[in-house]
Amino acid sequence: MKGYSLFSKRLGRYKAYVLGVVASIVIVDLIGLLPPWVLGDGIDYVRKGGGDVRTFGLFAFCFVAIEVCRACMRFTWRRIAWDFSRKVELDLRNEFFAKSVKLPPAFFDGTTIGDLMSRATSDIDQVRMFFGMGLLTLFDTTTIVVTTLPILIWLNPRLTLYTTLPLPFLAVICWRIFIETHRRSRAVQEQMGDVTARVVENLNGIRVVKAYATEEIEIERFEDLSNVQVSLSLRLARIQAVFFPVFTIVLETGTLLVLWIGGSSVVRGDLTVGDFVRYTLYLGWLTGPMVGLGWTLSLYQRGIASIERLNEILLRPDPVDGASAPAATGDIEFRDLTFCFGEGRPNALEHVSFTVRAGTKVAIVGRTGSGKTTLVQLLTRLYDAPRGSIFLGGRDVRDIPAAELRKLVAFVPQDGFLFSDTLAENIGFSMETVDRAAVEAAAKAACLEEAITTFPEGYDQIVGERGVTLSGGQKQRACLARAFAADAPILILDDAFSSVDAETEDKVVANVREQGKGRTVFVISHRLSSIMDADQIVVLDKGKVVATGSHEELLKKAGVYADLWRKQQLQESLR
Amino acid sequence: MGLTHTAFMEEDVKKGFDPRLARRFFAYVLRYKGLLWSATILLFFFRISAIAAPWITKVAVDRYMNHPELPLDERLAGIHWLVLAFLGVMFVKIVTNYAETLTTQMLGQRVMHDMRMSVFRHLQTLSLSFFSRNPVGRLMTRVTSDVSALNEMLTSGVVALAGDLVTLLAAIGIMLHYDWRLTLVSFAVVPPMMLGTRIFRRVSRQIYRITRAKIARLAAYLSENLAGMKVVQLFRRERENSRRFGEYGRDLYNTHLRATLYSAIFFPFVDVMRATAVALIFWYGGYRTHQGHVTLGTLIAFISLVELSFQPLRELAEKYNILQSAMAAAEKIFGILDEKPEVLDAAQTEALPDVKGDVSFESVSFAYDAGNDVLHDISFRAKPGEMVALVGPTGSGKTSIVNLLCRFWDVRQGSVLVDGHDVRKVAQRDLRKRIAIVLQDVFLFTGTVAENIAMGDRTMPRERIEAAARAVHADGFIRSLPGGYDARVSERGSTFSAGQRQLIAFARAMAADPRIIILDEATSNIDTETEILIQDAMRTLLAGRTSVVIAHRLSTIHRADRIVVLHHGKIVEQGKHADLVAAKGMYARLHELQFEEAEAAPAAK
Ligand SMILES: Nc1ncnc2c1ncn2[C@@H]1O[C@H](COP(=O)(O)OP(=O)(O)O)[C@@H](O)[C@H]1O
Ligand SMILES: Nc1ncnc2c1ncn2[C@@H]1O[C@H](COP(=O)(O)OP(=O)(O)O)[C@@H](O)[C@H]1O
Ligand SMILES: [Mg+2]
Ligand SMILES: [Mg+2]
Repeated sequence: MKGYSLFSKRLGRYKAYVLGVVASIVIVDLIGLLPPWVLGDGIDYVRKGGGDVRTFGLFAFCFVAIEVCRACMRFTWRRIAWDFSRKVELDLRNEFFAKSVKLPPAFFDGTTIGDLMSRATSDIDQVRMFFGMGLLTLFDTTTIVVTTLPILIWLNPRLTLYTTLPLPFLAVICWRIFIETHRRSRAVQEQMGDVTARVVENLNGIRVVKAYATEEIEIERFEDLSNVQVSLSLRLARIQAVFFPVFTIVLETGTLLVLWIGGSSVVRGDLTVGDFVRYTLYLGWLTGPMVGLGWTLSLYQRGIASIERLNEILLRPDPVDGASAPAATGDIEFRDLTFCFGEGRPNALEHVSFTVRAGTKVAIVGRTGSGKTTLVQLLTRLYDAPRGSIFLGGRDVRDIPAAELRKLVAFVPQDGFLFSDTLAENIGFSMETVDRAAVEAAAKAACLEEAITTFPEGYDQIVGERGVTLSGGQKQRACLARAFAADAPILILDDAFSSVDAETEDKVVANVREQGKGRTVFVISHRLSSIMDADQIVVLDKGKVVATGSHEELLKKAGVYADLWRKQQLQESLR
Repeated sequence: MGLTHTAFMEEDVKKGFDPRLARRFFAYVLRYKGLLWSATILLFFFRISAIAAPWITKVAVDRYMNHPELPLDERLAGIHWLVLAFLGVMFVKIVTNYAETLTTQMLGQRVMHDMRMSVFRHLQTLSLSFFSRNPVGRLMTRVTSDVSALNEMLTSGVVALAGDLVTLLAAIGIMLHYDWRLTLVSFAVVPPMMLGTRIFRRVSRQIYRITRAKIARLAAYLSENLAGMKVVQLFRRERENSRRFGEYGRDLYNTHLRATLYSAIFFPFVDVMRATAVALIFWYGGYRTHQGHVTLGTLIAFISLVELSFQPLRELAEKYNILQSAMAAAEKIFGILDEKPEVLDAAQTEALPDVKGDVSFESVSFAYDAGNDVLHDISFRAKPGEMVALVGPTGSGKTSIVNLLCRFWDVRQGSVLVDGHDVRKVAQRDLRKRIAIVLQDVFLFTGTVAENIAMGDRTMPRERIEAAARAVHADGFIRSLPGGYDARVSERGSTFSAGQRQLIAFARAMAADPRIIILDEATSNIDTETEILIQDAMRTLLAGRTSVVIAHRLSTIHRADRIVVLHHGKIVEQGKHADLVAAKGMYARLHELQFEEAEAAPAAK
């Protein structure tokens, strides 16, 4: 029972809560035993011909007073139990987040945001439900059975035998129904996730859909999904529809037996009418919890399944990190680096070796898919290169804690991701508290200032999900500004000007030159004219270094680079 | 801190019950009259049979249990008959309950499917201007959760409410029938109940809305962080973002606690009210029984009936909230359905047979927002097979021209002609089937590479897909993927390099076999070599087809048959590369700039 120990370990953390829940629920149930008693006595009193209004009043008063006490206790346990379950939820969610920020990009490549979100929401919900309602119902049921059953037996043992016999079956049946219900509703939810994903994709890609006039195909695909959704939902409805009838059968069979056997007993004089009423009420007490028991069982099972799904994330080992020692910048060396993204894929990089002196500028050129992005991602340990293949200041980057390493790097990723926050927050992303002056300086250096002045909110403009409200060029420049603001000794620009128009690009490139002084700069670009001033140019092809050297050296070598250069020159100068 | 403002501020439609919306919604329901009637009838019988049990018990007590003067046999036989009656009622109850739940669900699901499809279908007809105004997140909820809210109203709101009404009326009817005085006494708790419910409804509705907004904020923050995890890690924001996430979570937790405070008060309150009603009945009823006005069985039945009528009252507040959110959802859904596409097909569309690819703009002026022209008096022509390049600084209107050619928007003045047909006179579908467009921001759909190239067209033969990929030099890298053309494309194609994504988009355009092809900064992430290869391939393959190319790198476009230079939405010059360079205008300057830098840089060292 792996799941069980997972549960009990978590339970142990919230001892005080659990005690509170148990105590209050037991009290509520004990008080709950009184009203049927009072009512039964009252009815017998009436039947025997009692007519004192004050006695009636006393009965009524007791009845209400008891109920008020019970209500107070109910209030207490609801508070404790819900507080408890929300606490569990909060803690789990925070753990989930704390874990996911530690997981490497490779992990995210292999999963979808939808799947992770479903773990963080519905699975955590399941666990919360168990810790809240589940535990509560469990204790509730136990107390009620333990207290009510003796009373029933004491009132009428034979009747009790007949009427309580079906109850355990009720519990089992309910449990099965709940489990099945859950299984089916999970399928419905997953399908709903697919439907949602389809809609989102359709809307995100609506321009493409319209451009290719594939609306009909989209509608057809969506209709298929929606139809599946309908049939899955009906499958769920069929099992849900069974529940109340089953519940009714068991409950009413009990009442039926009471009416039959109990009624006959009353007729024969073995039972008073008051006892009869009392009995009916107590029996009613017992049925609810039996359903509850089935429910708890199913909650428990679901909770375990969910905890296991959560643990696939939470118990994932942290990526091995270097010993925590401050890192300093220095020469960067790639030593026979070979890297592959996973089984069945070709090597993204093969036997890459070259050295970058601290404070120099290196350019990486190569065709699409030749491994340029991969190379700089390995340097920043977004993906981990094999040990002994990348060194910074003589230390293997694998021995440097990722956080320390990244402190030294300002990175402009190829596909700029911005958060739906203000521009200032986005540009000052690397700062603990956003320093407005630094942000503005960075924006200026990235030639973004002019654009910002046109925004109604200026630096406080919210950029929308993934920065949708910005143009491609503005987005790239915002990412550039973000890197400038990080003010790190190593600057990496991965095709950072591709969406910037030529005029602006010149200004930006000049600013980068300025900013890059005294820093180690990695530039990836397709426009050779913007990188030819690099101290060193590395030419990649299919993951291999085919040439290194300065612009002039490479031109002399008459290889791929010279070829490329000639082509671009030709194009540029063609009359 | 300003996370997803738009996403969670919009939840605010403060409307009560709107009969007009309700009528429109019920038009959908009335499509399934059979189901609707069956559900109603079944519901009626189910609720009536549920009321019968206390009544049978009453008869048993009054007629037989509490009547010592009758002969024992007769009393026992009476009990047995009642047991049989009870069994019958129980049977009816079970069967009707099962059938009613199923029919209601069927009805709900059918209606939901219909609504989902209408919204989705309608969205597909709307113009791009609509989508540029409405964020995806918001539109998505229209198709998903808003439709579900309506379904919920149908299955657990309206139907249950009708059922509760049946129960209440029947219970009150029976009670009145036996003793109206006692009934009135038990009604004494109704005013405080109503008051309590009202208050609870108000506070819970408000807190419910706040809770929803906070849940949405938390979820948005989480999913955004998951999506941008690389950036979070690169800039070492792990701790700070965890702290913020924890803060949002703590905030939600506090809201939850406040919400539970209200229901923790309300439900016990209802219990006390119920107990009070029972106590009142007992007090006054006991007295009346003693006086001989009321039988003991009636007294017992009253107690059961009061308990029975309290169940619906307990849930009334919740039902009301369901109704409210359904109304809000209906308003938003019908709001979308009422959106008229801004670009409409003409009533009489001209057929567009074999398109040759003759594109011309004739004095076109255009504005996204009225009174703010972004294109002024644009005229140019591309003859079949020609390549036209659009050049100009960002914001000069290049993409806007493309938008007009595809008729994503309509011109304000002038006309856009394809083979002499005004694009406003042909069906949008016919027009766009002849045009393929490749954008800078490539959008890949989840699915396989082949599906992406075929744009979901399952009938497209594999050879055509592969030929298209070969033509744009994407075949090599696709084959190296695990699964080749059937390799899975992850969300947004994250496992491809940016250039590879563009190559797939090129293949997509090729596979569409268009007469006119548009490249809007489509080569920005592709290296020069591959770009040249693609261009060559396109030129041979698109012989006799027209292309419109936008690029920042002038090298990409120097061989165009015509270069159109734009500035602030006006054409400042057009002509061939050589002519434009010779003319020493704006193009020549742009060209100089790129060229000079290439020359100057080595000298600077
Ligand atoms: N996350 C990833 N998972 C699997 N394969 C990847 C991933 N990222 C890149 N690749 C593959 O690695 C190769 C090199 O990609 P990349 O470094 O992005 O090229 P580029 O030189 O264009 O930047 C490509 O074939 C690409 O498909
Ligand atoms: N959907 C839109 N709604 C309103 N204005 C827009 C929209 N798209 C572009 N614009 C505006 O129209 C002008 C021309 O933009 P665009 O055609 O995209 O330029 P380009 O493609 O040359 O960079 C810009 O000022 C831009 O802000
Ligand atoms: Mg790359
Ligand atoms: Mg544009």
